[in-house]
Parts: sequence; C-alpha cells; structure tokens
Amino acid sequence: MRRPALITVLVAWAIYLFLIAPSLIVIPMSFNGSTELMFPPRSFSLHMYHEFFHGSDWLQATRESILVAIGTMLLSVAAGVPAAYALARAEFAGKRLLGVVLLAPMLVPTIVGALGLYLYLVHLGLAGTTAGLILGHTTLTTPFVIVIASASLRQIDPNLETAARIMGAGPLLVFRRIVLPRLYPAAVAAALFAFLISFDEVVIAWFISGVGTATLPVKMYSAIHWEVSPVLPVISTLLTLLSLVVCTVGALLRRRDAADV
Amino acid sequence: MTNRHALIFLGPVALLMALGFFVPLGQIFFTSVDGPKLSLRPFTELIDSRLFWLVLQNTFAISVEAMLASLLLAYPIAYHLSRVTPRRRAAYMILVLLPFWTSILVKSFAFTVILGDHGIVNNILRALFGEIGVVPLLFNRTGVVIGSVHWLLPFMVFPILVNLLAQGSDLHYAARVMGAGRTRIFLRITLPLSIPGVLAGCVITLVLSLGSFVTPALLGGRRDLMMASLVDFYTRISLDWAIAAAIAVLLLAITGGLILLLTRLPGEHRLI
Amino acid sequence: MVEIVTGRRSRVTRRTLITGTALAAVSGPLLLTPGKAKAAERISLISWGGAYRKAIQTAFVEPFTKETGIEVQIADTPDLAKVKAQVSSGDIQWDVFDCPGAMALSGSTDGFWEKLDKNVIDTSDIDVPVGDDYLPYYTYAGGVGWDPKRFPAGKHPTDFVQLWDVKGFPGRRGLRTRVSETLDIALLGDGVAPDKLYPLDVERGFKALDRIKPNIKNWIAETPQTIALVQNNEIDFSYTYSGRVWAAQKEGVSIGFSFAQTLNSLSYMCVLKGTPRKAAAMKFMAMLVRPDRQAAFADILGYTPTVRKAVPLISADTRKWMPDMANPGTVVMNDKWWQSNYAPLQKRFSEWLLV
Repeated sequence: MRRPALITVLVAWAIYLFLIAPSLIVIPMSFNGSTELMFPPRSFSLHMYHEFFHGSDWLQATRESILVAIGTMLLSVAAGVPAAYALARAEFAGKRLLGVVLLAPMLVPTIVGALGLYLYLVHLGLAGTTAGLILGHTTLTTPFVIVIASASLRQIDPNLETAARIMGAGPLLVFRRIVLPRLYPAAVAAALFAFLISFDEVVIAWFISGVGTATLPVKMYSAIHWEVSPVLPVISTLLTLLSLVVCTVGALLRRRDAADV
Repeated sequence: MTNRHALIFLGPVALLMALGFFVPLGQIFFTSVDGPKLSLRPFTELIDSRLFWLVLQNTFAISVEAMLASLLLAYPIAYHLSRVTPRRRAAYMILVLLPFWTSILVKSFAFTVILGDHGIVNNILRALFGEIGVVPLLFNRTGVVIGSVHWLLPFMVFPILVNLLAQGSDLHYAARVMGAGRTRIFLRITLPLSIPGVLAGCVITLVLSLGSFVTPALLGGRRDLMMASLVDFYTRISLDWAIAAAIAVLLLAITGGLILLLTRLPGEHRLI
Repeated sequence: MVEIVTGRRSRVTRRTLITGTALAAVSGPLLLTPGKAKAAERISLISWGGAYRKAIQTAFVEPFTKETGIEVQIADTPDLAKVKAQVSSGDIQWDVFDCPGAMALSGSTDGFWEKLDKNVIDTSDIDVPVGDDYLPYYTYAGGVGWDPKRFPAGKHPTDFVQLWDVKGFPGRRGLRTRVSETLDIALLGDGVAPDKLYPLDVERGFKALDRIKPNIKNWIAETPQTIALVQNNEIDFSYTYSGRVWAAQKEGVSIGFSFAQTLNSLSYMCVLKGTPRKAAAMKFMAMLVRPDRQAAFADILGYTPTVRKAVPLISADTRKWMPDMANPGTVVMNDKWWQSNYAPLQKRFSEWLLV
C-alpha cells in the first residue's frame, strides 16, 4: 500500500485539528485564576480544581456517574458479547431482522427512549433510582458492544470451534474456552466504551435521575442553565482526560486484536 | 450452532431489550393514544399544528445539512485512515474517537468560546480582514451544524473506512500496472465502490441527527428548534405527555423507515 | 423439632424461641431508641444551583435544621414533569418545590400542591397575593442591562419604551425565549400604561414584537447568557435581572442595570401533594416568611422580600438594589393571567420565533 498523498494528509490533519480543538481549548481554561471564564486565561491557578474536589455535590455526582457507568459496563458486556457470538455463528430465519432490532436503541432518538423509560419507571416506583439509570444506559450501550464484538468475531476463524464441537464440547464450553480468550481485547475495548458512553450520557440521565442520584452530566447541564460556573472547564478537562485514557487503552487493545476497525 | 443454543446466547440481551427498550416503547405508544382511551386526538392535534410542521421541516433541513457536512469531512479522513499503516491508523483513530467520547456539554461549552463573535475564530478573522471578516457562527444554523458534525463524524467515517479497507490493494495494483494515475484510480474505482459505505454512513448520521437534542439546544438560535426539543417542551412545560409521545412515535416512524431503506439497498454495508 | 432440622444437638427449643421473640419484641423499641424519638427527619427541597443554592442554604436551611433538627436535602432544577409523575403515582420524593410564577400556578391548577397550613405559616404580612397552595417568598426585578464602558449614560435605553426605540438607541438586543415577560415588556415598550397592562392585549404585543424582531440578535434561553452575551460583546442591550447584575458587578464585570422601569416577577415555594413529610415541609415553609430570614436572603442575592416587616431589616447596600415599588413605571407580573394563558401562548411564540 503506498503512502497517502500529501494533499490527503494535509486535508485530513486540518479535519483532525477541528475534531480535537474543543477538547483542547477547555484545558487551559480550567487553570484560569479568576472566577470568570476567559480564553486565553490570564493567570495560572489550581483554585477551581480545589473547588471541584472539595465541593461535596460535584463529588457525589461523580460517584453516582462512576457507579452507573460500572454497572452499565458489566451488564452490557454480559448481554452484548454472547449476543454478538450468536449472531455471528448461528443461522436462523429472521437473523438479519434480529440484528437490526438489536441495534435499534442506538438509532432511536434518545429522547424517545428516555421519555418512555421514565413514564414506565414511574409506574414501577423506580424513577430516580440508580438501578433505573443503569437499565436505561445498558439498553443504550449494548448495541455498541455488539458492533465491536461482531467486528472482532469476523476475524476469528470458526474452524477451531467447529473442531471442538466435533470433539464433543458443548457450545458453552466452546464459547468459554476458545472464543472468549480470542475475544478478550475486543470485549475489554467494548467495556471501556460502554463505560464512557454511560459516563457522558445526559438525556436519559436527565429524565431518570432523582434527588440523590444526579449524575455528573446532569449537574453540568443544570449548572449551565443557572450560571456559567468556572468549575465547568475543570470538569470538562477531567472528562477529556478520562476519555483520552480510555480511548487510548481501547485502541491499543484492538490493535493487538488485529481487527481492522 | 443450533437454534436452541443460539437462544441461550441471545437470552440476556433479549431480557434486557424487553425491559429497557420494548416496554418503554410500548409505554410511548400507549401514551400517544391517550392511554386507555385509544383515541387519535394527539395525532390529529399534531397534524393540525403549524408549529409541528415547521419544526419537522427544520429538523430535516438541519439533519440533511449535518449529514452532507459530515460526509464532506469524513470521506478524506476515511481515505487517509485506509492508506496508513495499521499502527498509525490506531493512533489516528484516537483523534477521531476522542470528540465522540467527550461529553457533549463540554463540547458545546468549548464551541461557545471558539465560535462566538469575539471567539477565537472570529478574532483571527477580524485581525486578518477587519470587521467585515466576522462570520456569525454561534446560536444559529451554522453553529448547530458544526456542533452536530463533531459528534456525527465517527459514524460516517466507520462505514466508509470499512468499505475502503475491504476494497483491498489488488484492484489498485492492477489499475496502476495498467498505467492509471492516482486521481483516475480514485475517481473510477475507489469512489464508485465506496458508495454502499457512503450510503450506510449517510443513513446513520441522518437518523442520529434527526433525534438530537442537546446540540441544537445549546448551540442553536431561535430558528433551530428540533423535534427532540419539541418533545421536551410538551413533556416538561406543557405537560401534555400524550402529544409528546405522539411526536416520539412519528419520529420513530421516520427513523425506522430510513433504517428499513438502508437494509433494502444493495451492497455490503452491514454493521454486524 | 429444631434438633432434627439442624442435625445436631441444639439447646434451642420451640418454647425458648417463642419466649425469646416476645422479649425481643417488647424490648426492641426500648433498645433502639436511646434518647431520640427517631432518626433525623429529612425533607428534600428542589431549587436552583450555584450561588442561589448557597443563599438558600445560608439564609433558610441552616437556621431551620439548627432549630428543628430536620435535615434539608437540596437538589437541582425544578421540573414540573417530574412533579406530575410523582403526584400521579403517589411515590413522592420531592417535598418542597421552588418555582417561578408560571410553574406554581400551573401546578396549582393541576392539583399538584398541598394546601398551605396557615396555622404554621404566617402569611398575614405578605404584600403580594398568596394562593391557597403556593407561597410567594421573593420578587425579582427584570429590566434593561448594558455595558457602561461601551454605552455611557444617555447612550443606552433605561426603560422598555426606550428598549423598543431602535432609532433613538441603536444596538443589538437580546430578549428571552419565553413568552411570559417578553410579551409583557413588548406591550410596555409599545407604550401601554403600566397600570393598564393586564389583561394583556396579545395581538398588540405580537405586533410590537414584530417591530423589534430584526433588531434582536440573540433570543436567550439560558438566564446566565443575559449577562454573558453583553460581557462578551455579542449583544448591546439585554433584558436581565437586578440580582444577577449585582452579583456580576461584585465579580468585577462591567454591567449596568436600570431601575427606571422594571417588571417584577414572583417566586414561590410549594409542597407536593401527598408527601408523607407534609408537617416537616410546612415547618420549612414557615421559616421562609420569617422577616429576619427574608432579610438575610435579600442581603445575599439582592431579591425583594414579600414580607413587609423584613424590609427595614435589610442593609442599606442591598436596599439600593431593590426596585422602588412606588415608581409608576414598576410593574408586578400578573401570575393569575399567565396561569391560563401560558401554554397556548408559548406555543404561538415558539412558532413566531421559527419564521
């Protein structure tokens, strides 16, 4: 494969810069000394970081976000990876349709799902609970897990599994001993992405979170409505760093997997 | 594997979908016909409402613009990614994915700093061209499109990239051996073959943009009201949940129709 | 019998079990209540965030908890949809709800609030209309805002008539995206006499809005933007609020506010219907209208108390930032009129904004 032409590289880089510019802008803003928001910042201070870490409600919201994200991550991988396996290896009528149906939550406008979930959780008395949030987020993230796992499964040679089946191993054993170890990097990458999607999600959380269960994005959204707090760049920077770390780890894992996408 | 075994593997996700997706959807359908009354009042009221049609028009206009802008920016990226080594590709992929994983609130906030009349971009334009160089980029259609493109881009890049990678280098090698130049290869081979990927990306970004809520709310102006904001209005302010649900049903019908269209199109554009 | 079940010799026979349980049942409550009647009671208050929340905390919540021992958990952002959901399902999580006029009255029409317990809450000294189930606890003044560095005295509008005078005071304007307040000031800007404002002449109001539309650069949805946009030189004249301008000035922002003509809106607190913590909630509401607490709240945020006895208790500094109610230009928003008209007019206004 020949190296890309210079024009391609230049154009691509212009677009990459466009993509990362917003994330980069907030970082210097978070170190600003005054309580105003300005760019470029006029002084350097860690005052706003101090304010964030010592303001109990921001930390409480962060804790809630982490809790929900971990729950979402675990459940969506547990549901999505086996599902991807079944879609990749089984043949049955309506498989294509099922595939599309399983992807539906990703494509249905979030506010539709959020409203429906809210109305029905209220009936159950589960509105405002962490469990309700985890349910909503897991439904949203599982399609992503399925897509990532499916992409990886396409690269895995099914003959090994067939051989094992001929030898008499049951499907669960084959899945556990042969498929999962190969699927491991993709599964971890999918888990990390599910974590991030849940951590950053605002629409569903806005509807479902309650008094003690507000997540970080919900508090940020409230904060934007009430005042332009200088703590926002701090939260933004921390979230960006988190995304960067997760993204890098995920990308490294998938590269090891030798999957192309 | 046998169908029976497939059921075991699909069990957890089926349960999840039932509880987290189908029941809420059922709730929406039920609410949209005024609950137990089963009347079409919410739908007829919507169809008679001028506001609804204006917002629908708006939503489509903005979404199509966002889709086209995404295509314009995503294709060069996908092309670039398909031409670099896998190692580099992983590194560049981070640049593509990072904005997607960055909270939408963070980005909207950052965009207000970048795109405002006295923001970074306009300050540069002002320095170069004076006051006439200043372009309104925020709290209007342009701001919404820029913000939307930012999070839609990965969804446009991936299907195209998958397609380009699948095209393989043999075809290009053969063409080069025949004497074709780079541009010719691109226009005659790469581009036409990438159409299914482009279509898939377009449908996905269009569908995603139709339902977007936060970006138009934070970056848009008075003329950029979208369907999702209308649902929010009826839910939280007017408290007419039947109409909110009716809008949701209509939105669902439109996006569902578009997805169905995608599965009917020829070509290799599966996501799973 | 128990020996057979556990499979080994046990000293526990059925008789000892019954005796033990009876003893526990009798002594349990005694053991579990060492002095205090029960665990600390707690109510939840839904209000706004940031500086506002700190003010509520200092002026009302802390003294309340100190006096009654009842904890108050404050959560962000009032949302009427969630109130509706809670009241209709009976599962009440929110107890006290802080809301502006439109929300309070619409909630009252829909039966979301408990009737105020007037035995506990002293509403005798309140100088604005008190509803059966909503309690007005401060008024806030909306008026013209600008940057004095860019527009010295005489170059900026000071009342709504001048705000609508684009020839006399050219400049980029910013108005709110909600129809209440905007329609009121449009009529005032068109020349309607303040004491003849209600019921609003809707058609005249919309015509006045048509006139000013080309000069509105930003239709502002988020309240903080009413100052931020002036600060960042995106607009010249804005409709903003005295309390916020006062706070911004204290931070060193160059922003001015005109008291020549203000539209004053009421803010209410209500108790959700069906809350199991009604008594505690009513006690908290009573704290809201104590003159000294009202004065403390006013001193922090610059809003005007609704209790007459609170006014002399306010510091001289704060009093400079309160609108003069005797000023003929001052208008108090008529929440009762908006109660029946808000929803359809907001729809019409949203349509109007789209074209």
